[in-house]
Order: sequence, then C-alpha cells, then structure tokens
Amino acid sequence: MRKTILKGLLFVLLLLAGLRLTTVLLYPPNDIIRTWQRFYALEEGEAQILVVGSSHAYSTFDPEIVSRMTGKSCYILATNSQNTVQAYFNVKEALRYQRPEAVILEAISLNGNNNYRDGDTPDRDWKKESNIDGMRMGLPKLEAVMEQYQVRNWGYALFPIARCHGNWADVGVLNSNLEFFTRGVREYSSFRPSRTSMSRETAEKYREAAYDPTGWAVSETNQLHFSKLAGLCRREGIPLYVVMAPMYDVYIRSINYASCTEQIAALAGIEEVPFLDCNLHYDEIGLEAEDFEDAFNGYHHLNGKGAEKVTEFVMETLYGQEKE
Amino acid sequence: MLFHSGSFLIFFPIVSLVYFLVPRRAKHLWLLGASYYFYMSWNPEYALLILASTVSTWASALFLSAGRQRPGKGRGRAGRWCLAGCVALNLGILFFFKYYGFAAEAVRGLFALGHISLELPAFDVLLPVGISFYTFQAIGYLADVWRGEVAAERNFLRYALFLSFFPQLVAGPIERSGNLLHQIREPQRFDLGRVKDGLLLMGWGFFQKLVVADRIAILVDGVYGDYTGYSGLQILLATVLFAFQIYCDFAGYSDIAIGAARVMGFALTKNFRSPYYATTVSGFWRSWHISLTTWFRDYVYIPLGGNRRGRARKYRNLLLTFGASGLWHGAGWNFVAWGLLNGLYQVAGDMTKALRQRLGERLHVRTDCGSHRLLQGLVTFGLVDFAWLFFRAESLTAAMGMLGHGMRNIGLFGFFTPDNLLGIQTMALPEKDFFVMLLGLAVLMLVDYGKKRGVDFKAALARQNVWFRWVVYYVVIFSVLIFGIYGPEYDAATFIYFQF
Repeated sequence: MRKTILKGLLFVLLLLAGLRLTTVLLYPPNDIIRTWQRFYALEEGEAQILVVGSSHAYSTFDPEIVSRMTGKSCYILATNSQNTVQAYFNVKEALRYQRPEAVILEAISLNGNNNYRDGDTPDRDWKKESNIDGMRMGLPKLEAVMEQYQVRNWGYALFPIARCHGNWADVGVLNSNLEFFTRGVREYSSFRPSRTSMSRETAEKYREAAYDPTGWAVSETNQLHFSKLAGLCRREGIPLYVVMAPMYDVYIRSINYASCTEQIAALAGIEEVPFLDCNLHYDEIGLEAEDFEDAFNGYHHLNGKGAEKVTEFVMETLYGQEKE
Repeated sequence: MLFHSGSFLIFFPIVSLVYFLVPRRAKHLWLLGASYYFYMSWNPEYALLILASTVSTWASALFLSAGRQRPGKGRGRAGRWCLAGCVALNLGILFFFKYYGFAAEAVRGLFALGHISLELPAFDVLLPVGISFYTFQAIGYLADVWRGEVAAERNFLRYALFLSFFPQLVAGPIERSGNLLHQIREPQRFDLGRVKDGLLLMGWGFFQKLVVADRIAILVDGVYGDYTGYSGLQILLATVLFAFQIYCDFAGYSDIAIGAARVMGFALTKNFRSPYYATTVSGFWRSWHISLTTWFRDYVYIPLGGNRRGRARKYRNLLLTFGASGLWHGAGWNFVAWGLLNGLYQVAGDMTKALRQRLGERLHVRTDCGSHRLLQGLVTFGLVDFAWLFFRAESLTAAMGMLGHGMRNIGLFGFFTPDNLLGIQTMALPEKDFFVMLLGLAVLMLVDYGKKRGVDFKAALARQNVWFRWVVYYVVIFSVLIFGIYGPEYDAATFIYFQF
C-alpha cells in the first residue's frame, strides 16, 4: 500500500514538473512574465527596495540610480496596468522570497480599476492573467485568483497550459522562451522607460485638448487592498511609500487633478504612509516636455531622461542622499 | 458539463473518491445525486423529463411484472395496454421535443402541395440533452421486463440510477438492464488496476476527441459551411475526413464514458469495434454504435419479423429499421436519407450476393487474400462515407447541392498542385495542424488494426516495465494537453452525438 502511494505521488510530481516545463516553453513571452521570471532568479537580498505599481512605476524608477544613491539593491515588480489589488498580492508573493527594506507603491495603481468586482475588465485580460501566471503556485497566487477571478474561471486561471497549449506550432515562442532561459534571465531588466521624447507637435496637442477628469477615482477594492498592503508592510516592519509619478504639467493643469490626489493623500494619511506627489515638485525636479514619451494620451510615461531626474528626486526626498 | 470541460475534471475525481468512501448502502444514492447534478448542469428543468421517464417506466415495469404472476385472461391485455401506454408516453415526450417542429413542417408542406395553407402551433423548445438515449434505454428495459428477460427492479432509486448513470447518460452507450442493473445492485470495491485501466481509456478517449476529431472539425466545418468555395475533390476530402471525425468524436466519447464507469467498477457495453476495417456494410453496422444497432435489432427489426418471413419482408424490415435509425439521429430528411441509404446498401448487397459470387467464380477472383479484403474494405468505406455526406450536410437540399457542385467542379489540377497539395492552403486547417491530424489518424488506425487482430493493448501494456507504462501515460496526457483543440475562449466543442 505504502509503495503504491509513493508511486502515485511520484507520478503526480513528474506530471506537475512536465506541466511546468510545457507551460514555460509554450507561454507566449511578454514583459510581465519576464518580470516575474527575473524576480524569481534574484539572489537573496537583491530586492532591498521593491517597487510595485503600473507602467508608471517601471518607466519612472531606475534601479541603477537607486542603488547608486542609496547603496541598496532595487527591483521593479511593476507590470502593465497593475492595480493596487494585484500590487498587494505581488508584495505578498515577493515577501516569500525576499526581505525588502522598503516598498514603493506608485500611486497611479490606486486609480487602476481593472478587477472583475467593478466589472471593468473581463477575466480574459492578459495583464491580469500574466501576473497570475507569472506567480509561482502558493497561497498568494491562490488568493489573487480568488480575489480577481469569477469562480467558474479559477481552474482556467490556475492552469495557463489550457490557454497557451496551441503555441506548439509557433517555433518563435519556443525559441524565445528557450533563449530567455538559457541566456536571458539575469540580463532582463524590468525597468522599461519610454524610448521616445515628446515632440513639439504632441506638446501642442496637449495644450489644445480638453480632458475629462471623471475617470479619476479610487475604487473600493483598491482602497481595501491599499489598507491590506499598508497593514502587511506594518506587520513585517517594512516602510511603505506612496509615490505619484509625474505627468506632463499641461495635462495636470487641465484636469481636476486634486480630486484624485486628495483622495490618495487622505488614504495614505489614514494608514500613516508617506505620500510623495512628484507633480507638486515639477519645477524642483526640472521636468520638461522632452522628459516624457511622445504619446498623446492621459497615461503618458517618462522616458529614460525623465526617469533619471525623477528617481534622483524621489531618492533624495525619501533617503536624503545627495547625488554623486 | 462536458467530459472535457474543467468542471468535469473537478466533478469526476470528487464523485469517484466519495463513491468509494461512502458506505455500501449509500453508494447508489450518491451516484444518483451526482448523475442528476451532472444532467442538471445543462438545464435543471429537463431533469423533470428524465424523472417522468423514470417514474413511468419503473411503475409500468412493476405492473407488468405483477401481471405476470396473476392468473386469468385479462392480464395479457392489461399488460399490453400498460406497455403501449408507457412506450407512447416516452416516445411522445421524445417526439414533442425532438420531432414536433420537423413533423409540423412536413405536414404543412404536404398540405401546401394541395394549395391548402395549414397553421400549426409552434413551440420554441430546446432539445434536452441525451433524451434519445435515455428514452431508448427506458423502453428497452420495459420491453425486457415484458418479455420476461429481466425482473422488474423494485428499488426506485436503483432504477433511477440505471437510467441516469452519468457516464452514459447523455450519449450512451445505451445500456441493457441485464448488463447494468445487477452491477448497480452489487457495487464494486476499489481496485487500483481497474482504476488505471479506466483512466487510460479515458485518456485515449480525450485523445480521439480533442486531438483528432476537433482538429478535423475545423476543416470539415469550413468546407461544409460554404461548399461553393471548394472544389469537388476538396469536398470529397472533407467528407472522407468527416467519417473519421464522427468516429473519433463518438468513439472518444464512448471510451471516456466506459473508462469513467470502469474507474467506479462498472462495465459498460462496448460501442465500437474497429468499424472502418469492416469489409461489408452489415459488418460495419455490427461494429458501429453497437448499443444502438443491437437495440434496433432487438426491439424493432426482430419484432417486425426480421429475416424470417421471406426476402421481401426482410428488405422492408431492413429499410424500416434503418430509416428509423436515421430519424433517431436527427429530425431532418437528410438523416432519413442517410438511414435509408445504409438500409439500401444492405438490401442491394443481399440481392446481388449470389450474382457477385458467380461472377467472382467465373473471373477466378481469389477471395481468401489480403488484396480482396482491402478492396472490400475500401468499397465499404466508400459507401459508408458517401452516406455520411447526407448526415453531415445541413439539409437534404444542401447535400444534393454539394453533390452537384462537386461533380461540376472537380478541381483536379488545383488539388494536386505541388506547392498546395490537396488544396490545404485554401482550407481552414493550418498545415501543421493538418499533419498532426494525419499523425493522429495513423495512430488511431494502427490501434484499431491491432484491436481487429485481437491485440489486447491493456494487457500488453500491463506486462511492460513501469517506466514504459509511465511514458505511455505521459505521452497520452501531454498529447491531449498540447495538441488538443480547446476552442479560442476555452469553450469546449460539444460531442456530435449530444444533439441526438
């Protein structure tokens, strides 16, 4: 009987290993998955400062500058459109592998409402899917699935092979995944600022445009998970900072910006979490239109030059370090 | 809840595990609850229909059984009335849900020929899943009790489980009371070897359905959906492939059903026996959907007189039986045509048998060699496949349209162009998938050939070392996982026979 049970367990273990391997090989490569894969490849202590949040987080904080200014290693566990719900689970998962000395939450993630409870995104949202897929099996992943997926899709969310099995026919996917695993894991950087610079034409468009400020709101689920994140960091004795990445000032002036940031500031106040709004220090940072990407939309990102300025400013403010 | 849906992958292990854990007395109650839950996952309201069928046939069987023990002349008459009433009730339910629309349309058409406009009420009802299967199973049981071949089941719950046993509830095999009822009365203990056999059979069923049938379906659906865009040879290719699609789809379902039942200790009827290796049409029907063919043989063909009352009656009976079988498959003239065509093949085969034999002797044709059997097999496949065209087409008109279009546009040169062989590039199935499909078909036909030759794959595998067995298990699991067609939004494609 014992032998049979052991054989059964071995069979299941090999099956799970096979599932893992096939998923890794067949999963269509994307930056969210890579961000997670790189995270799991970190040595212990390589994420002393952990940054979570949306694309504004990974286009704003340059880990090399953070290290240079603070002497601490930094990892950006931010992913496309990551809301605070996912950010909370990301930190929870990260704490199983790393012991960060500080966590920075980029504030625009509080504005991201892409979770099913609000009905904003369907379960087949690749950004949500990829974060779940990127996480290793464990309690945080199970909790993240239960929180963000409808019951009928739980199995589907937990087994990505069901979605990506058809990629056997795409040699490109297999090659890219193999190449990443044999050479690229350590080379991948989750810091990805925009490579473009705002042109005069785009800047002019911002001047002429009128914006609808009603899209700015902090959902109840984001508020709830912000509190959970603050509580988690408190229990673990890790300082949490909320930092709002800057946006083009013409854009900021044209919307009811205060209505959102006041809400964020109030939330941060309740949880006694420091809140740094870079948009209130625009001139101090020395930002110009050319520090942003050349895109005409409400969620424009910084480029490398802008990221350098902002990272230096944030680190100076949070850690009081001088530039080299 | 489809067999290859995520819900079934959770449902089945839980049901099986609890089945072995609960006390013996509660086992059939647990399975009954699970079976009704399984059925109600499609439409809870239709559970009332199966319940009505269960109650009516159970009570009628008890009445028939009690009547047997009563002396007097009236018992036979009362029994006959009871049997007829119960069969009429069950067939009436089936007729209303499955055939009413078709029959109303036919009657309307008939009156229209005489320029009479007839208004019949229309009912917008969904066809309850598996209604044809459980209705036939219930009627078969009733007939068996009437003939005195089986004793009426006194325990209502056990009988209800017989009719609703979830592995075979929605698409068969249509079980005989003599086979399944006594197994329900005597539940089996857990047996690891049997569980492994059952799971392997389920894996093979999933392979047939997800890797082969659903892959072929992409091509066949494309061609049959808009045949005017394809040449005659492409239509022929799609029709040949449809023969394998429906086989893999239905045999796959049957294997999953039989495997699932075997895991829990039940032995269901074998439904297929390498049908495409048959060398005659009647041989094909002896190995295709065996549980339905034998049902029609025992409850329709033989009661009509079978082949005992002269050739003319035999041919009439054959045509009636196959016509009814066609109608059982679907409410449409194309299904009737498919059934009659299969009946006609057998009538023609029987009528020309002596002539063919004489001709063979005159021409010194050897009949005891492989080449002769190969030719017979190919001719049989050709005939059966031609009939499948009517089965797959949307309607009889569409089938005739396809035939006409195919004959007018054979497309010989386009079909054999080296850089677009078989015109694959113009068909819906990508080339890589086409070759996986061919590989899957080759494996399937090899396994079927082995079975035909009497190879016991299960026993042969059991004799191998553990590493080899595990490699086989993993190959089956990962082939299904990786090469299976799940649908773009994880919508499992339904089994073809569910619609019947």
